[in-house]
Order: sequence, then C-alpha cells, then structure tokens
Amino acid sequence: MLVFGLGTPSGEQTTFAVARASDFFRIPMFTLPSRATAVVLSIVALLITAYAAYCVQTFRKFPWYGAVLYGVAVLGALLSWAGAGRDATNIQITGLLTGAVVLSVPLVFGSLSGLVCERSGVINIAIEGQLLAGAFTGAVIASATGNAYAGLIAAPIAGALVGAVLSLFAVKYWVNQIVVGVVLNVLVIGITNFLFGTLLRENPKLNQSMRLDTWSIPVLSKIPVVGPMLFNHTILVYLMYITVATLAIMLARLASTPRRPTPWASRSTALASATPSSVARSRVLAVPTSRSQPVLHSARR
Amino acid sequence: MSDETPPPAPSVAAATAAEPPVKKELRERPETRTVFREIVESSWLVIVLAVVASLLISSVLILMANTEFREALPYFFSRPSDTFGAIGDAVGGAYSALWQGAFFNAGAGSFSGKIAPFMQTLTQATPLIFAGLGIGLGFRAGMFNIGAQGQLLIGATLGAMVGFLWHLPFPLHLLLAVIGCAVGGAMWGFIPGFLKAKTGAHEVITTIMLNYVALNLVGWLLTLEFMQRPGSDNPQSPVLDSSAQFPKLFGSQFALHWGFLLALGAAWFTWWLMERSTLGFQFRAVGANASAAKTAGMRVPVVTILVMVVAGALSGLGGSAQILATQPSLTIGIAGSIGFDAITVALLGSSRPVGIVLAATLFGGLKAAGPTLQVQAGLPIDIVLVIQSLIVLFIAAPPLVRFLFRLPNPRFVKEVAA
Repeated sequence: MLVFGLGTPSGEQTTFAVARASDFFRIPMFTLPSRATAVVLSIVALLITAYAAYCVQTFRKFPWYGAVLYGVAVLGALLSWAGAGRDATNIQITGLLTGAVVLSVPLVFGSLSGLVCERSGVINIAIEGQLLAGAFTGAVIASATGNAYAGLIAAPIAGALVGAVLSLFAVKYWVNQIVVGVVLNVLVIGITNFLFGTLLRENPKLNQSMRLDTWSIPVLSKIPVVGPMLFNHTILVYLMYITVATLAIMLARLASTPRRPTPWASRSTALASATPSSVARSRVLAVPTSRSQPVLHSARR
Repeated sequence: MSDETPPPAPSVAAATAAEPPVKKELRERPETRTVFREIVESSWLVIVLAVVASLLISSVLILMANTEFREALPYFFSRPSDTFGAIGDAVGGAYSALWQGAFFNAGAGSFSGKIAPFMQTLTQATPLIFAGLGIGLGFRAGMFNIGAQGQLLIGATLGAMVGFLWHLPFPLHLLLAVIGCAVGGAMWGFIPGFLKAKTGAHEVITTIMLNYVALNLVGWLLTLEFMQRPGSDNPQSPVLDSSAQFPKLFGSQFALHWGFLLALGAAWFTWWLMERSTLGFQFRAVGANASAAKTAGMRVPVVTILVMVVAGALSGLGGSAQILATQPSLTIGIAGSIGFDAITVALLGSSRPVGIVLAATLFGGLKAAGPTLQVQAGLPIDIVLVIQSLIVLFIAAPPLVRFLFRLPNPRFVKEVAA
C-alpha cells in the first residue's frame, strides 16, 4: 500500500496494451490513472488480508480464490506503479501472462510431485535434485540424438531414477526422509556439475540448444487475452494441463472413498504401506521443464 | 485452521521414530563372540566401508570422465593392460592428489611445506565444526536446522560490522567480534524457532527460506555506502581491523588460527550442554518425545526457541571462523557452501560432538584438496561433493553397506542415526 499506492506519482497515466495482431477482435489499449489504480488495488489487497485474519480468528475457511484475488490485486498495483508515466512503453498484459504460464510449468510439476509424495507418506525434499537430473539428462540426450522429443522422454526417467534412490533409502533402509532428500540434492548437483565440467566440456556437441516446437491450438489460441496465454505453447504446457486435471480427479476420488485400498500407499503410516515402486512412480511427474530452455547453462548452478 | 497440527508431523515422526525390527538369534552361543565377529559386526567397520564404497562409486564417475579410459575400453579384451593402466592413472592420480592436498604433501621442499595441507585441512574444518555442532544440536532436539547457511552469513555480517566499524584494542575487539558473530547467528536462529513455537511452522521450510532472505539481505547491505570499501563500488566490505582477527596458531606460514581451538572448545561445550546440563536434558527430551516432555512439565515452546537460538549462535560462530580469519572482508560469498556441507558433517558425525569434529576434519580435508585435485588431476571440484554425499548416504543406511559387502547382520540392532 505504502510503496505502490502512495509512491505512485499522481496525475500520471499507465497505458495497458492488451490486444495482439492475431486476435479475433481488438481490445483497444486502455489507460488508467496510475496512482488511483494502485491505491484502489492496494486497498483491495488490504481488505482481503483483513478478511483472512478474520477467518483465522473465527475458524472459518478462507476461500481458495481469496489468495488468487490478493495476488491479482498486488500484481496490478505493482504494474501500475512500475508503468507510471512512461508513455513509450505499454504494459503488455498478454505477454506477461504468457510468460507467467511458461515460467510456472517447472513449479507446477515440482509441486505435483511433492503433492503425490506427501499423499503416499514420503516427504520429497529431493524435488530439486530430480528436476536437475532430468534437465541434465534431457539436454544431453536431446543433443546426442538430435531430437528434442527424445530428451523429453529421457528427462522423467532420470527424475524417476533419483526418486527411486530416495524411496530406496527412505523406505527400505529407514533413513530419515528429509535427510535423504537434502543429501540427494547435493549429490545430483555434484554429479551434474562434474559431468558438465568434464564430459560436456570435451564434447560440446552434447550440449546443443534443442527446442521443442510450439503448437498452437487452432481456434482457441485466437481468443484475445486467454488464447495466446494458454493455447500457444510447447507440448510441455499441454502436458501440464493434462497432468493437473488427471491428478485432481484421481485425488478427489481417493478422498471420497476412504475404505478402498489405494493403488498408491495409504497415508496413515510410512511403515508398511509406502512401497518403493509407488513412490518412484510418482517421481515421473518431476518432468524437468528446463526442457523448454534446453541449454544446460540454465541447469548449471 | 484448526486441523493444523497433523500435516507434517506423522510422516516426520514416523520417519524419525521408525526402526527396523530387532533380529534375535534363537540360541546365542557365547563362544562364537570371537574377535572376528566383533570386528565384522561393529559400526566402525560400517563407517570405514561406507567411505570405501563411496570412493569406489566416485572412481566410476572419474573413469567415465577420463578420456584415456574411454578410449582404451573398446579394445579391452585384446589389450587389457591399457585399460587397467588408464584406470590406475585416472583413479590413482585423483586419489593421490586428494591425499596430497589434504594431508601430506611428500613432494614439497621443507617440513612445513609437507604438513601445510594438513594445516589447511584443519582450517577448512573449523567453520564446519561450528556449523555442524549447530545442526547436530538441532537434530538431537528433533529440529531440522537447514538454515545454518543463513545463520552463518548473518553472524559473519554482524561480526564484520563490529570488525570494521569499531576500532578497539586487540583482545577486546576480537572478543566483541566473536560475540557479534554469535549474536547474529542467534538472531537468525530465533526467527524460525519462534515461528515454530508460536505457529507450528515447519522449521525445514522456514530455515531454508531464511537462507535466501539472508543472502539477499547481505547482498543489499553490501550496496550501502557505509558497508563498502572506501574508493570502490564493489560489494565488499572494508578489510577488518587486524585487532579483530584471530591470530595464527603456528606462525604466518600456516593458515591455522585460534578459531580452531575455539571450535574444539565449542565442541566440548556442546558435549557438556547436552550430556551434563539440565537444559541439554530438556533439549534431548523434547527431541525424543515432545508430548512426553510436555507432560513432564517442560515448556516445549521455550525449549524450541532456545534450541534454535543456541544452534544459530553456533552456526554464527562458524561465520567467525571465516570472517575473522580466512577471509577478513565481507562479500556475498563468505559463507560458501559451508551451511550445506555442515549438514553432511552433522549426519556423518551422528550429531555427537566427537563424531562431528572427526567428520568435519574429513570433509575439511576434501575441501582443502579441491584446488590440488583441479590442478593436478584436472577434475572439477564437484567430485568432492559427490564423495561427500555418497559417504553420508551410505553411513545413513548401514544395512545397505552390510548388504554390499556381505557382512552379517548384528545381533543387536543399533538406533539409526539422525
């Protein structure tokens, strides 16, 4: 509130550009008074926070869309403040949102992996290691075979391997899961850096930039804002949609039938139920989305 | 949100409390307790073999990266000596570089040159001892203090500020700088402790996130005028006054400094705290079973906060070993990777002070040998990370080591570390 609302010079205007050339119909660029927008949005954010505090006090459930609205309000205030008075640059909302979707793919996949593991009773701290292993393997295989899709297949296998190690130690040998996760992260960093410094330095053709093609869904991608944002991406993003939907359905069905033995481990104890195979299966979700920026430097620490 | 307490607790509690079922032999014959059997069942052997196993696997990695080996392998059957020669060269070269860089450099001119690597090892081990003690203390009290990196950084920052902002005579300045480091670390440890005590926030998450906060905070601080070296715009602080630095132990030719003795003292203090004092008993009780401790009348939230404060102070002292000796100018990289190495040190040392000191020496040796490894054997320094992690993984799973080396299962199963 303080920074964005009152920090915006009054009287300035922010131009929001929304339309793109390929859309069905054009939404004209609109300008909003920066300071007022920022102030209003900040007040909205504060109100949502107050409501959340009230919910905590009275043990009510804070609706899930509350956090979303809060994020939108704060982001809007930030954008108003950042774009104030700059006539030359327009804030490209569509571009921003598209970039947000692309950048969120690794986060979504990683969180899904953590979610599945938590449901089967294992704490997966090694998500970072799995992502890294998948990114490295994917990049190398893609460069070696000259086919980005080969990398796309190899990456989850590498992630699953790391996950299998985690479940081996955590389940079969009873090692503390958090400890194994942290150590595995360090191990994967070490192995990938080492191989990067030796093998990849000597054979630069193992580290080429291979990109996945973007597929644009025919009709849907022309809708003004939502189209390019959601429907003009590489296969990874579409995979993400499918995975999220599938998991949501599967988990909802699991929750509603408590008596049925689950195909994954039960969440009651890690003692008997969390089998290595179930946990490793869940690791396949850790698809390393550095596939969309397959240059290995992105994976290098 | 009243159903707050269960979520992380069952998995964590199950993970820490679960033990493999005890195997009992039907008839124990006393005369079979030979020396051989003692050795073969001992946990020391497991530790040694874990190190051996990890070195073996690292050798595989080294070989994979070695061009001579890869070239000799296709014609292995027609001329095996080439392959074995390549193996000997690569692996032997790597491990002899490791030995030379960490312990004893037989090729150096003078005696002091010969033992210089060992001195470097101990110097590198010093911050690891401090931070390892901090993490080990947390483990034994049931808290996962992954935030040693951040605590070390903030401790080093506060100590650095004492070191270059104030100008005092020698013993006083050093003392205040050391206290500053401890206080800085303690502050940074207080935050997750307080959050856990008041809201139940899982300390793994808070400590990991606070690491990033610390990193960025120090980065920002180093852009401020008063923190920068006069005459330069780089994000590094002025060099600390020499009155605030640890004096060297054996003269200026070796890097070893009094901080090492302080580290040994801290190890003794931690032992005393945990094994001989009432407070330490409370720490261990809360770590073993928080509900039982609460029933016994201990105030678990207070203990939680105190544990994190003490652990943070120890990690902050690790920062002192860096900023007051090895690198007397604050930069963003002052903490290096000590925070995470210290986690592996604590694990390897089973969270006991003696074990931590020994483990820190081992890992300090690996770190000290890094440059030699790079120069002599041409290997990236990351192989050290691989060796370290593998050692910890094997140590953490004694049954795996026994399986690999076909050792018999012990008759009485010991508690799994951490």
